[in-house]
Amino acid sequence: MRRGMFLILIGAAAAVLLAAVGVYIATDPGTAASVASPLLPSSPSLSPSVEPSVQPSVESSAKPSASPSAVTKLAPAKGSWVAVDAAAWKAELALFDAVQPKTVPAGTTMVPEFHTDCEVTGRAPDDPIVFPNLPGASHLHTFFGQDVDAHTTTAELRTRKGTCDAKGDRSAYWAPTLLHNGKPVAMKGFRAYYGAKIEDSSTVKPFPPGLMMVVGDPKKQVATPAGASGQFWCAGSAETGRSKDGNWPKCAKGGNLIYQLTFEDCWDGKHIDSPDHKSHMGPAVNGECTGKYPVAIPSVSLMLGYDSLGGDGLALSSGMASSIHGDFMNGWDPAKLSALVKVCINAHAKCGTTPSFTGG
Amino acid sequence: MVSVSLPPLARLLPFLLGVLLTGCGSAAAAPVPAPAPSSSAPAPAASFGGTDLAWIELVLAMDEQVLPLLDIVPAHAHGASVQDLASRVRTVTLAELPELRALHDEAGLPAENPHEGMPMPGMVTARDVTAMAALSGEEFDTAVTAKLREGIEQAADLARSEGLYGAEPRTKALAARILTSRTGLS
Repeated sequence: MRRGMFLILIGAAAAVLLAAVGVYIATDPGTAASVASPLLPSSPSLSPSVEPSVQPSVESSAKPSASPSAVTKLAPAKGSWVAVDAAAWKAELALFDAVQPKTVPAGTTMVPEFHTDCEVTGRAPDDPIVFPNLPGASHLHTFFGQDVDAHTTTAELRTRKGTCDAKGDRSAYWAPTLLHNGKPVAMKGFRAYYGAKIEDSSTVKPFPPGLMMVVGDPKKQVATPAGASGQFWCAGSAETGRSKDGNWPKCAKGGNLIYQLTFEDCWDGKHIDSPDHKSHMGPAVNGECTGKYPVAIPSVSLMLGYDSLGGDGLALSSGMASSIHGDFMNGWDPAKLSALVKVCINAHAKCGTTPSFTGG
Repeated sequence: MVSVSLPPLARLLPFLLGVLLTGCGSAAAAPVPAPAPSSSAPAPAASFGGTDLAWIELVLAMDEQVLPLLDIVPAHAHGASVQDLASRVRTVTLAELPELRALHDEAGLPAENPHEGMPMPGMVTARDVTAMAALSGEEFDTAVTAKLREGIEQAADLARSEGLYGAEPRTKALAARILTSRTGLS
């Protein structure tokens, strides 16, 4: 079974696209099955309410002009390039530098990794990164970790406890809702793996404060036949065929449909958001964060496990399977994240949800 | 309280039908070119906030994407009421488009429509137009009227939010006019 899954994964996702973390997951006994964290409520009555009293939070680095009438047509406005709070980032790096690494005992699995399992908090046609303060503007999203609505900000996340089980993870994660014949499919589990794909995991730093990012392209509406990159796949059981349109796998009983979304892991060091919510993040070059994206941050992989065996009748709220995408708003407690990055990722050692090692 | 929107099968059908009719749909979109932020660039003169920018891009996409649907109405419509609605939607849409485009350019937003091809509330996609062009008679009228009504309501909702949470005064003023024009249509 494990070997079979490994081969399917390699074949389906062309291996190249998969992070070392992802390959590891597929070969790690029981991990794919353990993605199924506490069963999620299937009741769809989970919508976060929109509080009109929520403070408007226009996040922008644009500076008001003294004379709005003297507008000339400018090269890119800085309106949605949001600069990092340099003082706060410096303070977080100091906190991180002060963390003492732990001695890694023999028997520890030497993979730079920790994880957090989060519960579904609701579904709503909202997206506070892409459509801030515009409730109802988006296709339907399923939110994990935090109650999210169109007005949610990263500052606000830090002040309230979420549903993720790694202590200090108050982040918000979301993805388009998977629909079966138009009805939302319940989640079987949600796990975010934090790891390092770059060559030297000791160079990874914690996220900058207020970081927001998007991965994937909701506009992409293309066929995803067997063998195409960017596949939903079967976790815990074999793929036995394809849906009639060829875009979805059919999974044998005992397993479930899953998607792994991996965010970029190199940061520009300057901005916590950009006009397309992606351009402040980029890929490593030859295993190193360099050039425009010099700062290595944890490689985050969302494991979206669905209570579904795949097959016919499936669609994402954003369209075809190829339109899968994910959003992340950093709500981590800086001290807790620093400890996990230093103890686990920098030491290239495997942890669970706390800065302590696991082996086997 | 925002109710969970569970798109009924009826709303997905045109989309699914569209997929069948148009094959694989559009090719993968090219990534939006990242404007290089430069500390030496002059600060923008107007204070567009995140909500203003998202609203401008979204309403511009909604306006531009409703036009192809309005274009097929004269040849397909069965009754006069859908013709009348389509013509009134065209009037208000064309009236606001120049200012929307001017604000979009002034804000330095990318030329590419970031929402093209995505099913979204109130948005007319190319698939919707293909699916509706395949209908005729009262079926066409019903489908197009429902789609236009959905767009009118969504535009009004978004204009209200921009009025509450937007920052840039001319963008907020445009939202107020759009709210008035859409309220007049409903």
